[in-house]
Amino acid sequence: AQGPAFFVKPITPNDLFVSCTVFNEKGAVTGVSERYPKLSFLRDRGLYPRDLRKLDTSSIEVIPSIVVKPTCILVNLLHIKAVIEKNRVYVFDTTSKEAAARLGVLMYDLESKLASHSSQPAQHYEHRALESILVNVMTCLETEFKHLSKQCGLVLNELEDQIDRDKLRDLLIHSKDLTSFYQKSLLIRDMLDELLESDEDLAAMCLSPAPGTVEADAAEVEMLLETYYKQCDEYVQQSGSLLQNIKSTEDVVNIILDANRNSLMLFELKVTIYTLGFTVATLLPAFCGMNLKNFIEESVWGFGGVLAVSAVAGLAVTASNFKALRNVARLTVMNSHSTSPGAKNISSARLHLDRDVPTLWMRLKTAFRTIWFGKSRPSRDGRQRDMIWKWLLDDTSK
Amino acid sequence: ALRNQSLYNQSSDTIRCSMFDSDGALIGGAAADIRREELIQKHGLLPRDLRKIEMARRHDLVPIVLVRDRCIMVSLLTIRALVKSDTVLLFDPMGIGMDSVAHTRFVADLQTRLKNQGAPGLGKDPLPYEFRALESIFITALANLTAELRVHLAVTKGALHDLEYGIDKDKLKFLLVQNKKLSVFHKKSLLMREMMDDLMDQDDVLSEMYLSEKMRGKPRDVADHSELEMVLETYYTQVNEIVQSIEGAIANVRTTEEIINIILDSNRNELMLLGLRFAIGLLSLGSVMFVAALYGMNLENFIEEGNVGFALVTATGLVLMVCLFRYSIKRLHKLQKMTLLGGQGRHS
Repeated sequence: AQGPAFFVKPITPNDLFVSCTVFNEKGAVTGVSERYPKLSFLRDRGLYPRDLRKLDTSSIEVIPSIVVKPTCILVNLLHIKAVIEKNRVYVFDTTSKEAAARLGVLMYDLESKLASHSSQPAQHYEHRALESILVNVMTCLETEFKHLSKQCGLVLNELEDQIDRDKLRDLLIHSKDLTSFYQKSLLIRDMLDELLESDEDLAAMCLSPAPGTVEADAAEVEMLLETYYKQCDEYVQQSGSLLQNIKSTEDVVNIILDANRNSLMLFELKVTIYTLGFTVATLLPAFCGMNLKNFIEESVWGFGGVLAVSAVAGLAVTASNFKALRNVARLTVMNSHSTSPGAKNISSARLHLDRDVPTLWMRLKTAFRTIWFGKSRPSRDGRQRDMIWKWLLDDTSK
Repeated sequence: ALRNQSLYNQSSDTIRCSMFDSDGALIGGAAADIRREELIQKHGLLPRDLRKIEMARRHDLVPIVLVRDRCIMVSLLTIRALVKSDTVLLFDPMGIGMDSVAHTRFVADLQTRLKNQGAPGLGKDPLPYEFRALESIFITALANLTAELRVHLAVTKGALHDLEYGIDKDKLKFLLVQNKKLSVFHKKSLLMREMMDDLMDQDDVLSEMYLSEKMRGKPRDVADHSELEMVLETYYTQVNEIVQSIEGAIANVRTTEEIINIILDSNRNELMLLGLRFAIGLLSLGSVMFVAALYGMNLENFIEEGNVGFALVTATGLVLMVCLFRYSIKRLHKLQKMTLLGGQGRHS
């Protein structure tokens, strides 16, 4: 046998030859990257060229498949493309570098697994090969999923605390990877499911049947496949729920950004209202500032009178505009309901409105309290209890 | 309570679990370390069956009931157990502490059920040992699910209700968190329902589950499993109810989200309209200011000495302001009407 230090190197594809690593019945490697003429390779196993087309070095590895032929099992899962016979395993070489690195791990695993006879003597050679391939695939899926879920979970958690568009964009980029992972694992799961459904395939997967044990062997394969089906299902469900999370986060974040824009507009409006008030107050002084005769130049009360009148006008206009703003805000809050609102709802709407658009009087009151008592004093208002506790208490009291 | 991060101890090759005998008594104390190989050999398992339990993480979603030759492997929510015809192996729960209320209650329930003394007034439970264990597991799992469901429903309802009367960032953020929790919970309960459905569809698996009778050497007929099916059906309907109510809650959340979007949109429109009105007022005031500023310049304007100059300029300015204001407001109304009538307002 070869020494333990062999590496799987990426190869360049060739139409006339297939190149693969071969294991014999003892699990020893008999050939690394051995090249076989394609036609004789096919003829020996009773295969057609179309059977192998997906297997040999093609870079497309989206659709996984396990095809059961009379003399062999063709496996095409992620990066692994292999032909399993009853006493030989051919693992095809790949053209890509990362896949080659992962195949290297599989090689060691296969070597030790195929060689061992101790623990489960009942297990057939081809089943051991199949199992170690499946284990390898599941490990790959798990590693990838862990990586993805860590990435996405981080962004999702950050979004809970602070929302901005950049993070949302990051999340969408991650979700692309996650979607392809989801698809990949889903396809593998469905493939295993299909295999489990068809009894003939299960029975045929035992390539070296001892007479009279066909049924037990089929049950054996079924249990094997079932276990990995469940494992794969876990990844499918986990990634599915992560995708769902991303989607709902996206929706809610959009709503939050919308709400944010609305409050920005509200603030802008408030600024405009104050500007308008000042402009109104400036009107009268502007007229009096004209270099024209206005007959109050000499009067003692002229300055005071103009000041008072313009200030009152400015305040009046500001107050009335704020009232209009409050009306608009209240209408939208109350309009959202078709049923007649209860007293509690009206008060909660009112609370919301008061916080968003306070009247001048309330503003004065808060300012006074802040000056008098300092900022630390909380407002004694039973209406503003902690939200979650309120809901829970409301529910249990019913 | 935080004893171990994973059930499987890599270095000593052991798994933590508690073992109950046929009377429900603990063998070897709670949470003993059992060697993996011993477990496999003693209970007729394959290494890959244990893999799922070893690799269990906190947030595992897929529930599993695997029927093997001499045992049933169960992995439901936080409970992981191996049920045999006279022994129950309970692996340490993931995610909740050993001394948590849920777990202690579960262990107590399991023990009374396994002991099967029969309550006064009630006879002994006719079900065989393994089904009593399964029942206890299902009951606990369902009780946990129901408790979680109630909290979710209450909180979601409160959040949605509050949101209808006032949309602010805190509530929305809370909705976001709640949304995620709901979807995970939904998936969890849905998978549990599917698992039970699958189980009930498979006649051969169901009759395989009669472990005690199999141990006594007379396995059940494939079609004869009505007791078990009845037990499963009860819990299936309960899970189904949970799934339905959580789906209702999710649908509610989705509808509310849409409504909130509409409210925010209409709110924005009205705010913009109001903003435009204020801007129009500013514009017309600005025009008067312009006139006043013209005459405020310290330059020769030829009417400084006239007596009517002030009145004339003021009146002109005010008239100008009113005209500009009314014209702009009219334009605004026209625009508003146009959007309402789909472009026909121009002709009216």
